[in-house]
Amino acid sequence: MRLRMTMLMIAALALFCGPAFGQPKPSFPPGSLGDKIVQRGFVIVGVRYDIPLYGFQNPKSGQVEGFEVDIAKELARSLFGAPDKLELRQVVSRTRIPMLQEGVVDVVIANLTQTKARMQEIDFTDLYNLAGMQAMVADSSPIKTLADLKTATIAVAKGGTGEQAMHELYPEAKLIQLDSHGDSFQALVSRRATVFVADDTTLQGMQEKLKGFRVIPERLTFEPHAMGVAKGHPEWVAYLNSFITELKSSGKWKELYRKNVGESTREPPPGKPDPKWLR
Amino acid sequence: MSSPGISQNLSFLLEGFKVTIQLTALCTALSLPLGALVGLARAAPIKLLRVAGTAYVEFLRNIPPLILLFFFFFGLPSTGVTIDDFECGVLALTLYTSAFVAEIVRAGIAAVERGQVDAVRSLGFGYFGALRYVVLPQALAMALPAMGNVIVGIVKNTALVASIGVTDLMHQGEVLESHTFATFSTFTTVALLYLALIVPMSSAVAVLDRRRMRKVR
Repeated sequence: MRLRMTMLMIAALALFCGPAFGQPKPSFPPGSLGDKIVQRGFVIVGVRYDIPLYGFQNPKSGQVEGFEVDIAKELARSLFGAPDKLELRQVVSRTRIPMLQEGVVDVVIANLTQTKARMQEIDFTDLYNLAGMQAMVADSSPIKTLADLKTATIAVAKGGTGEQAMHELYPEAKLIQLDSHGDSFQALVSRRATVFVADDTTLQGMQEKLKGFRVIPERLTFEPHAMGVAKGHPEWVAYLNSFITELKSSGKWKELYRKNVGESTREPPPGKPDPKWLR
Repeated sequence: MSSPGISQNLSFLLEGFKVTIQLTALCTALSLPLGALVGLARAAPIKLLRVAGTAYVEFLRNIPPLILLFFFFFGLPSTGVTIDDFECGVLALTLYTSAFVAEIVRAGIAAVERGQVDAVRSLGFGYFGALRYVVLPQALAMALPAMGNVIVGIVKNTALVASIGVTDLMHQGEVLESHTFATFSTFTTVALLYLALIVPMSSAVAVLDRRRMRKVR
């Protein structure tokens, strides 16, 4: 009887500790970035602190939270069996690529759209989200459809994909480029711009500020969001790709998305972007 | 890289450089006389003027200029007044700079020996006469080197207007960087262009100052 109890307890303990003990440490070729991360004992991830629901520093608790932050925690769990073997670094639109190139962060999970120009600078993993630019206008605005944007004054954040996309789509429109999404939204509030354009992921988190404003439902673009990695680390990209595949197939992706963003209709995106989405 | 070539990138920066020069010229032309007036008020024999001048200087000098820019750009429209982004830049930087000019002018006036004023007044000159013929020529001459610093400051502070979307040199640099990802070379070029503007201006002030010193001796 006692023996059986002991056996049962050992079994329960083994089950409980399974992820920590049972999981084989991922192995990377010696000297590679992946190996460096494993030796270091924690992974350094660049995330946004300024995009609510995705990567946002909660002003009350000081904690950084959101969908992308939770993905970073899952990554730490998959590497080390513990979600806290993780160091978060703040990135903004303009610093994402330089910080990878300088080797300050191992990977960037920060509303980063894969583009052809950026692919010359860094490597991208499979997609973990498929966003799209949308336009926000004042409730009273005469702008009803995307066609009305042609002659609008459009506020976008510097360093993102908004500027180039608007140049291509609406070469006649006047563009105001400000330092952040918050400033661009303020330009709309203060009527300096008639339209504020950003990825829907950014606009989703502004929902509480939305009183008096509406978002035009049609998407302007496809913004394939992938993780960014410095060039020359295929083993690390391969690891991240299998991590993303696992995240989607295990149902974890949906769970984290629902927890953070709420909208449950969105499906995990395909692994690779459709070439026609890439600008 | 969809790099449109170095010469095209340079002309993109030069467009912004033009805006920076215009902004510098306007802010200098406006803030020097405005600041001189406020400086005179601070040294005036009427208490109300002195208090008003002090309030002006302390208020504007101690606010980060970026906040002044945001105030005019984001705040002013809610009062029904909307001036364009370039005008916001001119207004904010002029007000900010004029506070420093005022301090320099006041210090110059204070540096003129009290005895000289008494002497001129005893010759029958009024307050303005004394100011015009005796105090100001000396005060402004003494203020010259410090004015050089102020003008250099104007050029550098213009870079802040990039934050309210004015397409100045800094703004163009930021946009170019986001297209080319060539952070180092872009901002090195931007820095050289700022130098190309500042160095001649500060050398001009230095020449003027040397000439003044020769006259004094």
